Amino acid sequence: MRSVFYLLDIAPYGSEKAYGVLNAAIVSLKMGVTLGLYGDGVYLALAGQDSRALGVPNLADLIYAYPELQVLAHEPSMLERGLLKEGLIENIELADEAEFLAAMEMSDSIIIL
Amino acid sequence: MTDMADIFLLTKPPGHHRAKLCFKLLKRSKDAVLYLCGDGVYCMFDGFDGLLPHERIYACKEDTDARGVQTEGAATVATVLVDFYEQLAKDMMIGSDKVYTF
Repeated sequence: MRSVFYLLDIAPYGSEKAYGVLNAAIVSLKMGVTLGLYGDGVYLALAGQDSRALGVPNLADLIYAYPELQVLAHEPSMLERGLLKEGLIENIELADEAEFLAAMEMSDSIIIL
Repeated sequence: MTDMADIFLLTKPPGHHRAKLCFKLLKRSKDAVLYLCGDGVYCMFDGFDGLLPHERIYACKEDTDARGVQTEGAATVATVLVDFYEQLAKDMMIGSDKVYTF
């Protein structure tokens, strides 16, 4: 079974890319799938998202709904953005640089939207 | 190109975070080939600090021409190809282990 690593490096809600990548990852769950949050993508890891006023789906709810989805957040990206002291979605794992890159290398496919 | 090389296709300029990620992964690869097209050809100005020999870096001529990246001097940095996409497709189909696209 081929594995896939989806990389999100764009902040959520400002464009539809985070929603698209999350949905793609969810439909890929039968494969070995990892969603990697990198650069501005790490903002998706923040807890307490409430998108009702925007009229768009709550992306954190999608992550909570699929706890079997492995989500890795790039720790240096979080540090650069001052997010390490913030509340994060519980099922998200932090990965240091080496761990994050290794996870990318171990996947058969990498998809960056 | 040797069998089972990792192919890196870069379309972003050197300051872009995806270009930086590309180079991080490329450094970790045991056998890498770098293809530059689109804005990725601007990376030729930076040089590659011995990251790869120029024979393993290919640039798309139509993109270097469009952007005024001077190919005579660039001959020491990368191999500029008129048939860039044909070569890329061939390498992807025949002799690649992984393909990373940025």
